[in-house]
Amino acid sequence: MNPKLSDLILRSSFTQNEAIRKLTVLKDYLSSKIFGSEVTQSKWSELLLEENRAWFTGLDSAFLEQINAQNMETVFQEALSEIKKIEVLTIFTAIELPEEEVSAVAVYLRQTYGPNFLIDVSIDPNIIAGAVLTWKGVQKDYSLRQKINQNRKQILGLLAQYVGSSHQ
Amino acid sequence: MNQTEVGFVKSVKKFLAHLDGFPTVKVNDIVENDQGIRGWVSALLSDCVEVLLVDEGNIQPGQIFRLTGNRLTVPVGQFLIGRAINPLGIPIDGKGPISKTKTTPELDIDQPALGIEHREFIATQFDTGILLVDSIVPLGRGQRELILGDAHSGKTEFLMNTIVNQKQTGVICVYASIGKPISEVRNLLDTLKKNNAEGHTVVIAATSSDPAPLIFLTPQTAFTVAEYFQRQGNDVLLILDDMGIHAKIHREISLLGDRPPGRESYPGDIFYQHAHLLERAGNFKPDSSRPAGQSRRGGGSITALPVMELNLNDFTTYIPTNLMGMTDGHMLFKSSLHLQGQRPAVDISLSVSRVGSQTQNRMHNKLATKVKQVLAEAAQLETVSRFSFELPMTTQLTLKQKDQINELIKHPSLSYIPKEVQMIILSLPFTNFFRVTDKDFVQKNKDRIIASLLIDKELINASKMVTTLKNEEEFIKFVETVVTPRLQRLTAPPARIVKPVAAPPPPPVLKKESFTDKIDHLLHKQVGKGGK
Repeated sequence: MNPKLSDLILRSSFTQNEAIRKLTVLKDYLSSKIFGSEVTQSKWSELLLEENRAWFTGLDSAFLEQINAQNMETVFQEALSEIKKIEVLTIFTAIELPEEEVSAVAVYLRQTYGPNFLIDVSIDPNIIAGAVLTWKGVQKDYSLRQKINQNRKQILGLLAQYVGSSHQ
Repeated sequence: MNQTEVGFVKSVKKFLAHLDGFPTVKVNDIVENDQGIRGWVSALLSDCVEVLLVDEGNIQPGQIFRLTGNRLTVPVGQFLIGRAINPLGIPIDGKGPISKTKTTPELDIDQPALGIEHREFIATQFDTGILLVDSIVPLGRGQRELILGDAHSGKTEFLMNTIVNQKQTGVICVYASIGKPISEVRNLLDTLKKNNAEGHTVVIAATSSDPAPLIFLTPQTAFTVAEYFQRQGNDVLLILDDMGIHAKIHREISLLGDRPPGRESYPGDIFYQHAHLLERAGNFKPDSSRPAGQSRRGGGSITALPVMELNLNDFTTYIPTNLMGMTDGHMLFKSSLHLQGQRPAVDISLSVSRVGSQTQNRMHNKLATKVKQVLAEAAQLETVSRFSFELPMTTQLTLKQKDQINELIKHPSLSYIPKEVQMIILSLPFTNFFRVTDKDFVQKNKDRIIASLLIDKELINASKMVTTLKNEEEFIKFVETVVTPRLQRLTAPPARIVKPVAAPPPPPVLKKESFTDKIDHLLHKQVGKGGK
């Protein structure tokens, strides 16, 4: 059952933060249900934020019934450690990408590299354009900044030529 | 596409950061973030990399650090002479950037010490130019001698004097100022400049306001610079001032890094940290690996003087005893002796040099032994003398010699006394010339005596001959015959100038009265009386 909970969470989460957030929401619901007053999934979803509602209502209630007072803590701890073990691909972009773009990238990566793949998108305007990818401690720079730095001499030479010719 | 290794900050505690990433990083690699804040990798833990930050700045979790590809190195070359740099090679003396080029070597600051096969027996004396040290606690080139003492006992004054005196010997001096206040570093640089000692000195300084990791690196950088000059065939003097602060900084870093504390809360590897540093000093063989025809390099020496300031009421604490165990002797400075005017304020009875005597000239050694015997005897006799009214002549002589020796070993500030002159000075208390003088005489005339031994041509020639003599009796006889007559003339009180007084008038010449004159005289007296 244990990997299933993390699989369940990861199925609909592309970033580590999102996965941990969903795990917390689920734990709150189950704690209330098991240790507090009787509450239904649909009633609980009304209390959630918009972004969590669709995912929460789509959860398999039969699976959730298997989690009880004795195993709840263990199940969630193991699910959290599974999620944290996954290496996150950090993508630096110059501008904020729309959510659909991020999802499309994540889906492509999962199709290519496997289902348990998480990404993290950060914004760094200094890269000008393109992207910088960081994975397992190695950074690969595909940004415009790096290209300009690589060809600095030629660019400055061309600029100098241009300035010289325009003065003439 | 440009590929680098990166790590993300997981946690930060002051100057210690834990980073996640860097799959192939090694200890002592340098990492840097986008703001230019640098750190060096100090440990590789199971789930993260420990980095010590050498620049100050705002570090937050999630920040990214990149591997620069550089290791902890320092640029070395002749351009370092006369400059003051920090442990990363950045100049701090305000004289502009150091003149390094693309071909300037950059040496790793954490190098292992050379093995036994690269070392030579320490056979040459290290001249400090200070009589007490060169005679009684002599140092050898390649020796490690610990300088221990309490505050205001004249340690820094002694070290300055030694550095300034190396103008005469050609030894290159490297001074590592470890965690001292900025004002002290400034004073040090000004003193070196004032005494024209910059021309053979390099200063490596991390002040007390610098980050702790930077202070920690200071002695390693100093040794690297010293090794560079030693490999050129030079003799180098390396001063580490002071190792107590270095130990405290290591303790601070280790406790912050959650290392388990040991004795006095110092980390378990404190002995290793100091020992593997001090083992880099020594006397080295020329580099026999160079092909024939190329000039032999290496063969120089590094004489290390680690300094430790402590409370002399208890110098058996952890760090001083560690340092004593890894050095070839120690010199104990006492503030009480300093206040009494003894400079350098070394307690001879508690100081030792395990290697120096094998380097000392045989005659010098014998004279020094004679002096030490007198001082030891006098120490015993002094107690007895307090209870006796009349002391035997030999006891009085010994006590007088001790007073004279104590006056003679007081060294004039920032001056250099060659070894031959030192030998003559040491022999003076055993000559007839000094036998009839006392401590006050020595106090009044010592400077003149020393000056004349350094300036007077005849005495200079005499001092050059002393090393040819066979034993101390012959030596003392030589000094009595050649040296002391000139010194006696020099120190004789000046002749009094007497004003010419007018000659008294000659006494009246009394006419001898005849018998008849006497009668007449008498009769006149009687008539005079009768007339009345």
